[in-house]
Amino acid sequence: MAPKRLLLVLAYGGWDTSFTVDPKPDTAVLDSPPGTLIEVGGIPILDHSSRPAVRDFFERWGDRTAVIKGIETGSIAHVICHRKLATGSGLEGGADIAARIAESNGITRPLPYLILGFRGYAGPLDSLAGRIGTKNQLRGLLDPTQGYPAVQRGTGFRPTDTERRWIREWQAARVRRERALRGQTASNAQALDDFTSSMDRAALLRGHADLLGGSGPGDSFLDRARIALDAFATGLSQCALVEVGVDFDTHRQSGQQAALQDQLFAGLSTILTELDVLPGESVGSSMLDETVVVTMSEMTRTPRENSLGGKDHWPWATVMVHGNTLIGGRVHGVTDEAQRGLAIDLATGMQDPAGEILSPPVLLSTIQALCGAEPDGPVLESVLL
Amino acid sequence: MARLISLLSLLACRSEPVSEGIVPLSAVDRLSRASVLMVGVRPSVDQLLTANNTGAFEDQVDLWLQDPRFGSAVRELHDEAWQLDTDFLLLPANGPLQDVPMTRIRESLNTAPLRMVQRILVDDLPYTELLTADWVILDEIGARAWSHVGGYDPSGPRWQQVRYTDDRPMAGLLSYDMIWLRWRSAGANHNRGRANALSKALLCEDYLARDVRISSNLDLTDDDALADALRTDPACQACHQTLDPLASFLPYNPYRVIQELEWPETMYHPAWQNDWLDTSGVPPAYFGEDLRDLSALGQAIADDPRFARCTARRAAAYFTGRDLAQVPDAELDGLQSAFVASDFDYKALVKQVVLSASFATSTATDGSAVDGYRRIRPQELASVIEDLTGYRWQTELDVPCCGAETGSSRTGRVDLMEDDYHGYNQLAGGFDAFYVERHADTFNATTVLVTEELARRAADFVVDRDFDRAPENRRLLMHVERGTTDRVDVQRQIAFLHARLYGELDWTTDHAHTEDLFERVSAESSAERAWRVVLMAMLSDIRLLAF
Repeated sequence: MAPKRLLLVLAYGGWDTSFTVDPKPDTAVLDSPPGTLIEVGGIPILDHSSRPAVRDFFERWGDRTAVIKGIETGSIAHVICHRKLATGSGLEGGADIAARIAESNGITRPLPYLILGFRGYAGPLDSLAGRIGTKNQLRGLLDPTQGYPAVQRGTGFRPTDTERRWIREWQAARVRRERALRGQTASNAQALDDFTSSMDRAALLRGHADLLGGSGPGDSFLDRARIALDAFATGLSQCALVEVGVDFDTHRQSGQQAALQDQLFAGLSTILTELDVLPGESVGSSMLDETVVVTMSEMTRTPRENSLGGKDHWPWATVMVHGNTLIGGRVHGVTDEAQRGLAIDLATGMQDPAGEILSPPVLLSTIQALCGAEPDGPVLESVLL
Repeated sequence: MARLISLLSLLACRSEPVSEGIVPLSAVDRLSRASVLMVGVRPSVDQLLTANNTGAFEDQVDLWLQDPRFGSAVRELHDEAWQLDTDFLLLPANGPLQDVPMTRIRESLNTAPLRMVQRILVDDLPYTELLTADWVILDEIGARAWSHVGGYDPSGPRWQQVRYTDDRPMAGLLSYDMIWLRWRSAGANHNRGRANALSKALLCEDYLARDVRISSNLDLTDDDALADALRTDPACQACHQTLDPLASFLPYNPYRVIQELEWPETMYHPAWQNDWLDTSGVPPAYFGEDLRDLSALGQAIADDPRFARCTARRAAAYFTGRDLAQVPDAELDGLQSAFVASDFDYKALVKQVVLSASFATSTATDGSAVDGYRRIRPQELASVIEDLTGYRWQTELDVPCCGAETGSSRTGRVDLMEDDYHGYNQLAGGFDAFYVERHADTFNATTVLVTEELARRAADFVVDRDFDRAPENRRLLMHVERGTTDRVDVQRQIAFLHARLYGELDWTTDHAHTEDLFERVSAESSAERAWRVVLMAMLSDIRLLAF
């Protein structure tokens, strides 16, 4: 089986999971939105006519979807919560889970980690990552006819493939000389390695010049997701971060969450459907079979509404994972009436006062395991098939 | 040519290690690194030829400190601290800014605080003026955008020293409206985010980096419980004991929706001075010291040893290519004490850093964990390329900027190596001062694509222009003509290019490889095309991108 790909969907801003996958409709401590508690595909959700895509999603995909809730972020600052959830630490400079899976599973790809949004953290694994740009500037680099007209122009010179190969040989010789002069330290050697590998990847990327041109500028969630799917299908990338691109940070008027999450789940359903249609690298597999899809938001929202009818930041996170290496159709982790995480047994995912509260490092190790990579630490075993 | 080569060979020499295991840069390489970092250009061949002269490096550094181009490095360094120059605040064009191109609006408003730093250096003022000045620097756009600005002369130079006329407490940089538009504070945040931005920039103290766990029993929606926790819970007090009083100083409109801005805007109002009474309830104080207003805060920060240390740390980190946390205390102690003793002479601080052993580290032979490379930043690369070739990668966009429905104007002239919204700064590894807060750690495929595309365009441009000019007016190709294939002339040209672009004064096998590249292309097509290929290769070489 081909190494797993990872599609990381980021619903930035803090989705209110009481609207969907962590419903608490009958509690005195939480202001629940309207809806009916139902179980779909083994997962309890709050169903309502304002967000039909949620139910549709779990009816179609619930059996291979795991909801992991009660993850403690220990902060209420967006950036810190996201960093913790994505990298395992609130400190700057770390590599997020997509960068790590790119390293373990896809290092030979032209662009192992494709960032379709603003909030990808590659850190020391920057050599594996590439941003597409707000206006899909990457397309303009691969095909200069798609780029912006320059104020200053030459003759329109473009090197031939042979000339590029000669340039590459010349550059490689320069790097060898530089390595002999200054490559004695690990850091210097790594910099030269990164430069060399980046040149190799750039050359491979040029072979995909028409790839990113067919998927639009990337202005919408689905536009960006389709660029990611194209990148997977053509072998360009192993991992991709796709930002939903709408603001879930509803400090005013909590009701806005209904439409936002309806959009999210509708998009997710379309993405999984399109992944399922694409052939995988292994015979008889679909792209969906070979991909783990993780949907995360850096926090959820306070149990109570504020004076503006909205909800503020709550230091707990819930993540959805879709794939064929997990036990789907159930919730892993436990939250109380106020959506605080409770201590669980990692083996069962069930409440255990003697257990531990889910942490971002455990989540990330679990995702590593789901992707077939060596986990960096303890995992939530209940999720693993 | 042989005489030139032998002369250059005599002048280039490798330095011996100054401490066991650590190998410093050669005099030429050190000069090159300083030149790019301080003034954004490679040193001239004349400068390289004198690099080994006693005192030459220090003399050159002194000249660069007075060079107007040094201002760009200073602005970039301070932008890393304050995260101001972003393309993602999609400022509208309305009122007195109607029809002003969007890129001009952004540049005028975003960079104004950074130009204050530059003015302090140009006028040789103490760096503490940054926090105590009763003036600010604005251009005409800024003077129109913000209310209560007095003294701007439209017939004078673009950037001018002006004063606010609204009797606001002045504290240099902290008085800028734009800083508090960039750092907004929504809802129950009560200026804490702003206070952290200030603390991080000036004291190198980032509250958000503290690993504090919020109590799982705390109801964050219960205002009374929250207020009590902030006063009594040790986990909360770890930050809020000093953060909240700092936040209470800021007399600025907490939150303006960017799309709703109507110029001229008013960010300061005396009524917000006492906003804390209704928000956090915590009176203004600076780490336990009661102070009357923002002006007093500015002075208190200027007097705080941590300010001097943070300033030294940022300068050392920037010019030596290290993260802030990587600058060792022993090194900082010396920089801080000298900075204070010099009455906060920022140029002297930079000079001390640039003359230090840390700045000149190349590699190590004893297994030391030395990071000897400083990767070029996108705006530095753009400046270097422009100086070498005359090429600046820009586009002119007539489209309305950024999807704004109202109050939008044409986008204008976009510098594609500095811009993030339309340009390649992010893809080239730069930070965008909004989402991406730091430069990329290393190279990746997109940085190579950007640099190669820039190199292609610049090579094409300079070859085209140079061969249309007399040799004495050319930038790079002064030793050959369009069809020159004479080996001696070609070698002379290649020797010059290696010296000019890389400071490589020896004829090595690399020069021979370049000659080989030229001959291959020339044989297939023409000498003129061969120079395009050669320059494309040379302008995207590792020695230009990491030094």
